[in-house]
Amino acid sequence: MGSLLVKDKQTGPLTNLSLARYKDIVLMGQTAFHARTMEIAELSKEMAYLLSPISLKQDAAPQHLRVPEGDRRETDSLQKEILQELEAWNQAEMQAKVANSSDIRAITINATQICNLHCTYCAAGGDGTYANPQKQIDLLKAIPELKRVLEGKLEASALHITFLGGEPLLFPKGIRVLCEFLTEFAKTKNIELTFKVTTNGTIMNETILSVLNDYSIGVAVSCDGIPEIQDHYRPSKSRISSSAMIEKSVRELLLQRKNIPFVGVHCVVHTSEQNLLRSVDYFKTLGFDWYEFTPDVSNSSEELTESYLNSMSELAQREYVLGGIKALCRIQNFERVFARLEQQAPLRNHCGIGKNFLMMDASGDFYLCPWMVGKPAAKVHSLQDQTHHHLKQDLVELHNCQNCWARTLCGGGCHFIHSNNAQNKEKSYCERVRGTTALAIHYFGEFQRQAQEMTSN
Amino acid sequence: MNKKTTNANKHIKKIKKTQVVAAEGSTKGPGGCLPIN
Repeated sequence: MGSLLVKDKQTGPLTNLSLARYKDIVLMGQTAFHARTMEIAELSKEMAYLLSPISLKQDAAPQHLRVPEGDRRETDSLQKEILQELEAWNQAEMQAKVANSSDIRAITINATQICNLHCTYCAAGGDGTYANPQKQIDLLKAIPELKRVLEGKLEASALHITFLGGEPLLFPKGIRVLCEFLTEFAKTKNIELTFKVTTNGTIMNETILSVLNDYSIGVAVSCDGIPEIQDHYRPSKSRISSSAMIEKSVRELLLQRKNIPFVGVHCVVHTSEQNLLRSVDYFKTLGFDWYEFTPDVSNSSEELTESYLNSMSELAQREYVLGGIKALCRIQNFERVFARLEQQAPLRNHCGIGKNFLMMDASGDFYLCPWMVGKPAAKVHSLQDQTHHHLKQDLVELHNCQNCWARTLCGGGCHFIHSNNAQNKEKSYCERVRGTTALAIHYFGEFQRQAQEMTSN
Repeated sequence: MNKKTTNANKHIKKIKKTQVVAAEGSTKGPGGCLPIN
């Protein structure tokens, strides 16, 4: 273990990850991954040597194999044999592609468009309002609109609802009304309904606790790390420390938790100074079930990419040593990859934008994506809206990811981020995703090998 | 539990996977986005 932490000059100066590739086969440490079949394997030393070193910046496969040293006749014959075997695996059939379903699967609802924090990087118009005078969701419009888009929903299918804002927990009564309506609707069609709220985690009271418990609403708290960082990037409008507010609220939430499936944390990584080990130590003291890290998308600097990936690498190593694969499962960036590797189901879409996801704002209008609320061009009437027909294409194809080894685990990435940079994809985003994906595959392979050794001993 | 099989290949040893992720974990996406196959 730990081979990923060995500096390999050929992978470039940005990361400590050591990767090599042949067509759709990529090697991380001792684990080889087939990008189409999603199988993992161990390669012989001779075969591993032939794969060309790559950096995380590259999305295309190298054109040439590495040439081994030694007696030409001997190496030629061995190389031919190895290459045949490698090529045979590379050509392995992938699973038949299934057409995308147009059945709506997920809706995110802005329960409010007002917030008690004033985050430095707020995507909701800078103050949680999206410059919309509607502060709480207009239930008289929202419910008939939800009814309309859900009318044709398939029987016995799944529906995932996320409450967002602004700060959604400023209007728990509105969330309750929406949950009541959606639960009744789900019963009529035998739909498997799940709820989640993404909150700044600073407010907790009896009304909130009862709606979370009554409707089994999972909670994702946005918190950017230790108090020093959280209070700097996510200050409260009242000037009270937002981290002190979160600590109090989360303590209360965990004490009163009866029927809440998860309490996790979404953490934005801001600067190269941010130490993710310290962040996780802090999150553990608060008692979160899981942690997810997203590097600041407005900071595409190589400095942040390098420090983020190095910090993730150190975090993964420490957590694996401390708690094995289960500890890594608490880090969502890794758990998502583990789940995909287990299912062996290639991911074609990072999200359901334009296919089976809708975003509702506080006025009861629909948009393509939470990042696009308030933008007239992103306003939609339904999933059948022809204005954005190009989004029916898989994101892996739409974003030209066909040559990237990580495409079946990433699903083409965030359309909002890539479409902001229409001429070129956001390279730093891709590099960061490839880095955490490589780490996940490496540790997944390590675990499977160790598990095998234990059963064979 | 047989987790690893050796196929006819000399240089590639495919690894069978033991489940490590709870079933409900498989539907989560980045930042709350729900991925689709």
